[in-house]
Amino acid sequence: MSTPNGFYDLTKEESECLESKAISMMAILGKSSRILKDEIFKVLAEASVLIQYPVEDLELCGFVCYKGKTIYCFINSFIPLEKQIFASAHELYHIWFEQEMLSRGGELLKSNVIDSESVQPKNETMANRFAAMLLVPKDVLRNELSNFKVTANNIQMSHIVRIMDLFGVPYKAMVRRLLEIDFITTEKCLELLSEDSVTEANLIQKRLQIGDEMLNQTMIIRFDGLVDKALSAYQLGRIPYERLRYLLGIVQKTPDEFNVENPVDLPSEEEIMRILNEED
Amino acid sequence: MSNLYVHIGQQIQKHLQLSGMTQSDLASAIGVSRQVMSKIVNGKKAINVDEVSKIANVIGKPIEDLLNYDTGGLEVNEPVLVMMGSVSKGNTVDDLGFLNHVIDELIDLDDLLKV
Repeated sequence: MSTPNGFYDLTKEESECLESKAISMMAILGKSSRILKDEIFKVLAEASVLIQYPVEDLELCGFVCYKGKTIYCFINSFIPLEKQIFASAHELYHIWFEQEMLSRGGELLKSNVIDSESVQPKNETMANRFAAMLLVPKDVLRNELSNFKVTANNIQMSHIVRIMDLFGVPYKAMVRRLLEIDFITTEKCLELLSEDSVTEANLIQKRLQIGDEMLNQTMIIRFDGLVDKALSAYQLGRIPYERLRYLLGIVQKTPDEFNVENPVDLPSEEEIMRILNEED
Repeated sequence: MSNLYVHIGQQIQKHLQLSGMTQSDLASAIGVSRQVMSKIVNGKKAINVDEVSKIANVIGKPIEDLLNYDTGGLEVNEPVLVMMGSVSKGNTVDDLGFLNHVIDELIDLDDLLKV
């Protein structure tokens, strides 16, 4: 049967193993007991060539794959920022722990995988759970709940909305995380995941004006290394000016912005007219 | 991971062919419309857990048999092009093609800078 954590409800051992992986990775990154939020993009850019680009499809979160010997990770900047953050943490699981899967074709990450409403392969459940552990460390969450003076008995929707904003994760991911740390019961979790509760959470978010920026479509265009490599290749004489202009145009930049001028002095309009008149 | 749904659909299709059962029979048995069953069989629906469970029960197979999906261990040289095959929206396909093109440009720049 379906569980709030997806079809493959992980065993206690699997869950503890994942938690320990998340804690270890945070320690390696020097970010133990910290809230990563959108810093996750920097982490992802360390682990792969990060591409952020707006594809007008809310169902598409991103992809990760090997091409040659390099890992490329694309995050769709058209989806809300909170979802971009969660998708990034999800993809980090594949990058750090599923190299073989990446070399066998990688993953096109669709929204329904993150939302976990449909049946998922086990590794996707693992990736979602790991993402939640990385973005919402158990000890930090417990501290914050305590700061808000929230208990299992008095927890309200407004608390969840404030806490999800603090960690920069989507509402459903936050609710599932509360279940994972045994702060709420399965029944409470199912109640909070119902359509009515999700609608109520959205309304409270708007009413309290919390987390507006987390719902923003950032529309960022970023291809890690493209500008630097294009300029270097041009300066070494390995690509012509036209190609430099085209490559910079991909990230909406121009050679002028880097003090690179077109080496060919094109004749002015007046000169062209004069030449044409002479030919006549 | 939409290929999983295609895989589940193929498994169901295989069973229907062997047993002589029709899509309509299976649809009535699990309480969905014929249209929904057609989408499931064609891998066009993000099938939920209850549906997989009911189908497995009706066709008398363990759920794991429907879900056991393996890419065959092959390495893929053009992963983004393969991914494009599982996307139906035209503009998304085009944008993925563009991203693949820019990745190729990055690879080319790397090669040029190595020279």
